[in-house]
Amino acid sequence: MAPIMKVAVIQFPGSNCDTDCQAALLSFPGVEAEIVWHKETSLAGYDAVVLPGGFSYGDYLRCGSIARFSPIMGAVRAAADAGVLVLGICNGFQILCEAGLLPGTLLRNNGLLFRCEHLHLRVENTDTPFTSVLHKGQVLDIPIAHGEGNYFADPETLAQIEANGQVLVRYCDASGNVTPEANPNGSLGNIAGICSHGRNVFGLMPHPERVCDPLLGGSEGRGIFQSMIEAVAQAKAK
Amino acid sequence: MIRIIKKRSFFPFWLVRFTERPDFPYLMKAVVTVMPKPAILDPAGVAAGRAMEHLGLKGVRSVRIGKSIEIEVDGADEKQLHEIAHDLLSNPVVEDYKLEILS
Amino acid sequence: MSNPAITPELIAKHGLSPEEYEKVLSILGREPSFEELGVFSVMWSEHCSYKNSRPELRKFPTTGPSVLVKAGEENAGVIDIGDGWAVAFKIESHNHPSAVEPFQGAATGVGGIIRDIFTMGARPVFLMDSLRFGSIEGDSEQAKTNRRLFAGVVAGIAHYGNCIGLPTIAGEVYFDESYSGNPLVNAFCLGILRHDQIARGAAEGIGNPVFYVGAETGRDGLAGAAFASRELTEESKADRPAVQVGDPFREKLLLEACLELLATDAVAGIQDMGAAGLTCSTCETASRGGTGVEIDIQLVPQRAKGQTPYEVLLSESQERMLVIVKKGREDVVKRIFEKWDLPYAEIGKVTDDGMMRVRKGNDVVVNVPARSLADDGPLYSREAAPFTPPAQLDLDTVPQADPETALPKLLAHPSIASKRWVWRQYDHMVRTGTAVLPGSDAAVFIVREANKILAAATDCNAIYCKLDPSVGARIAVAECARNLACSGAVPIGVTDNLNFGNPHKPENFYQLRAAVEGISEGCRAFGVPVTGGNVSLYNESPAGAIDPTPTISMVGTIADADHITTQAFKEAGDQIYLLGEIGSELGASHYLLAIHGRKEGAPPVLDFDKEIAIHNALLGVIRKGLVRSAHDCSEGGIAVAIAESCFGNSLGASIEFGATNDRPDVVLFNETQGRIVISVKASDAVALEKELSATGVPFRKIGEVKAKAELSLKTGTNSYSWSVASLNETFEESIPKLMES
Repeated sequence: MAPIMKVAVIQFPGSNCDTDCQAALLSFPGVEAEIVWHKETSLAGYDAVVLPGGFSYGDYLRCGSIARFSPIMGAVRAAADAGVLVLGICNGFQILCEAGLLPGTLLRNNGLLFRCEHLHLRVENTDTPFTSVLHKGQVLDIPIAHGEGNYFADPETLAQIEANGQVLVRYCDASGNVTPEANPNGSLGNIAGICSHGRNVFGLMPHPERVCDPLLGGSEGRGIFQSMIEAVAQAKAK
Repeated sequence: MIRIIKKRSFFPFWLVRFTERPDFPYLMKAVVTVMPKPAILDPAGVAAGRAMEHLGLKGVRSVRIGKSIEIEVDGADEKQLHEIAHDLLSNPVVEDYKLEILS
Repeated sequence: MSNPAITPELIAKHGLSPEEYEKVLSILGREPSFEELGVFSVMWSEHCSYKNSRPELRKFPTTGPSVLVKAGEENAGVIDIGDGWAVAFKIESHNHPSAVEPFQGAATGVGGIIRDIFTMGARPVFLMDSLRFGSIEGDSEQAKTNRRLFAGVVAGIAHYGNCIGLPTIAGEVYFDESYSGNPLVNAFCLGILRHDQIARGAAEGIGNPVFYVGAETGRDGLAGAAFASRELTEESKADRPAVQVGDPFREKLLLEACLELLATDAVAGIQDMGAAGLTCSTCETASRGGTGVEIDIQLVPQRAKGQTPYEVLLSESQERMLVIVKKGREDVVKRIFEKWDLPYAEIGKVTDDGMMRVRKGNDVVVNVPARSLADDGPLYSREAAPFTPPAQLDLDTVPQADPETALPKLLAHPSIASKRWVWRQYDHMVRTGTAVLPGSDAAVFIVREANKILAAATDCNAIYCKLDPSVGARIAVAECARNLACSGAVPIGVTDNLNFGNPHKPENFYQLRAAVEGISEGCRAFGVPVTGGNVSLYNESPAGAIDPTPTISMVGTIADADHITTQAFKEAGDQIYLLGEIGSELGASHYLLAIHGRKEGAPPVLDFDKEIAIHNALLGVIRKGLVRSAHDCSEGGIAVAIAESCFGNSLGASIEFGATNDRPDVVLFNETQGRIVISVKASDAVALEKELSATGVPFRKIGEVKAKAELSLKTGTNSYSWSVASLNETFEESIPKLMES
């Protein structure tokens, strides 16, 4: 029986959250998730691509700066252009920005220290294949773990992203207020995750795959993956 | 290894003498370059070097990555800057620094 | 380029005594070459051979029905956890390098212990660390240095652990004057494997090729080496780094490549290159295999030019492994290491003559019996000074401090205060297995692939150990087991890191011996084997030796996810019970140290039978689903334990200890052992009391969890109360405030 969603989880040298993403995806009935080595050049047959978290190439030079030249990135770009869902988590988000598949860049946390903790995100836009099962203003408890998560874009780009509804999640407090205190890294506008103009590429710094199991701190990450499953199902139904 | 390069100022000397009163602050521009010591492993350099080879650059022998710190300061003296470079800007256990006074 | 002549000065510079050199002569039947001198000096150093401590370490209980690989056999011990799965774990120190360069010292310490685990064929799944520094309070030069060391060590561990993708899920950090100038960095790693995946470090199979895999060799770690074959000019000194730099990215690749390689059947033996690098891995694999190994130094991948055989043999460059490959399967190594973009080279072969032989092209520079190097090193039984246990604390000499101010002061003491500043810098969630995050008594990790739940804790109260090493060591074991019980786990094994001063001083050697005996007693009592560990001696400065610090790490298993228990009170209305006695022992307590500035008195008594009975009683009621939270009493006594239990969910508690003849500070801050504070739903109280009564352990109800975030403690006729939010702020802000100054 064909899977309802077949996902490629890209493994770069230094990716650490690849098996975590795979396990989270496999917890959804009917989903297939395969680890794809970065030297492959084709993503044919996959409904979605995930660039997982970790320290690809040790985060040397700049985070994601070397991974963006991996052979697989040609296929990732082609998939993005073709409307395939591309999700970049943490280091994955950094790679998508370095590759120009998402605007802006991630700088060093303004507090200069690596931060790993649970925090809250407010859902800003549910008109995307990654957030459709959520509701606008919903507050999600999703952890971060990064040293370079400070989102930056020049004022023009930032204005465009905001105007186009490309900001999908922002850091907020438990009640959903977007405040400076709730911002763990100095990101402009408390931006935690953005999508492409075409809506099918989404990058976020927090780790939804770490909250897909109540035993491991919660299930509030499941909504993002569930939205993807529904989007793929709808596309196939057409 | 410490090298100091003092660029000769093209500022007319007579003007310097005129303004060189003890209480007149002058702006000093300096650049401190911090590099890993030669024998120390530089993992970032190694990774960048291999990436360059994969991108088609042949024969890469060595890549070492450091940082460049640009300083503009009122009235510090060179000795002070050396101390700062040694104590703060570099880790003498694993790094060397070079101080260049630009003006 | 010729080697220096072997003179008495050269021998002494290599750290070999005249007697040890005589032994070398008798083993070889001739004078050693310069390279051989270097090889013996490093293999017979305290660091590699444990010559001052091995006779003592033999006292550890190391066998048992669950032991698959025992202590001393391989790089790490392996314990069965059922269903064909096993765990490999060990703790190791990197104290002296961290004093020189805290970031890289700590980072390479983490790298080293991780390699010890995956060289066993296990996939590493989590880390813990036990850190000690001098005081970080105040503005003295020493305090500033201690803050720098603390920040550097934590950053180094974070850098390495985060980059390689292993969560650091538990640990301890202590601050005490005795560690000024001698920080302690003990790093623990645990890996998971199936029984049939256990890999051994023996050079098996005559004729099998020997491969070197991993990072290129440089002159790392040679600053301390006595000599190289050329003059030590200013220039050549610059060539010899005083510290090794770790590359966690390279190690991540090495880890994946080695695990992939081990999954094929191409490997006959594998050993990491840690202390004494290529030398150690070569002679140890030969010794274990009862074979010989011959290598050609010119085939070793090198990153510096013109290195001599001496330098290559003694280099401590990181992220390297030695692999004995089955003849004919060399192509497997090539395929895998090219995939992972790592250097590899066939550098030699397994022979049948029992010798460690090193060539430089056609010249033989080392030809030594492998067993003599690896196993027949010198062994010393040092002198232990006679010991008089300290007198009981005379309470009349201790003025009574007001608990209202004493409790916040204790919570602010950096050894007790929240370590969030530390563990927030560690990715403690990667590998999605951490069921109980840092901040509770023990870490709990669910291994997805094995469907097993593991718990781990690391403990050592060095004040107890300083005042009475034997008691302190026993308590360290008991406290670990108590922390595991509080999380719902049963202990399965122990690894130890013995940190002491110069063993030539009889008072220090007594501490080592007494600690080993105390640990052995504790492990026998709890029925857990010691699976291996590490000894770090010579931790002293002109000011004196560190407090004896035998760090214990204990691993346990939890049978069912429903048994996982944490320390925070859960809901208002829950009833609070104390398992164990109220107690009254104030000797060697943190209250005495933090409030009165005194480190004295006999440590609390440890009765293993009573302790075990309490742990079993707790596990019994946990398994019946009756317990909502459990937290043991340790530093700061029951007042600190209850305050900590309030913090997690910002709840309050109202506690009454009843009539007593003891002073309030004695009741609230004593550190009597075998005490655990638990909370249960009000509707379960009757069932709980029935279960506990049947066990015969002492217990009593002491209070109730309150919605209003206020902590009130009543002892005798004295009542005290604090705002939980205020106590929590003091607890949380202590270290960040000190570090941000």
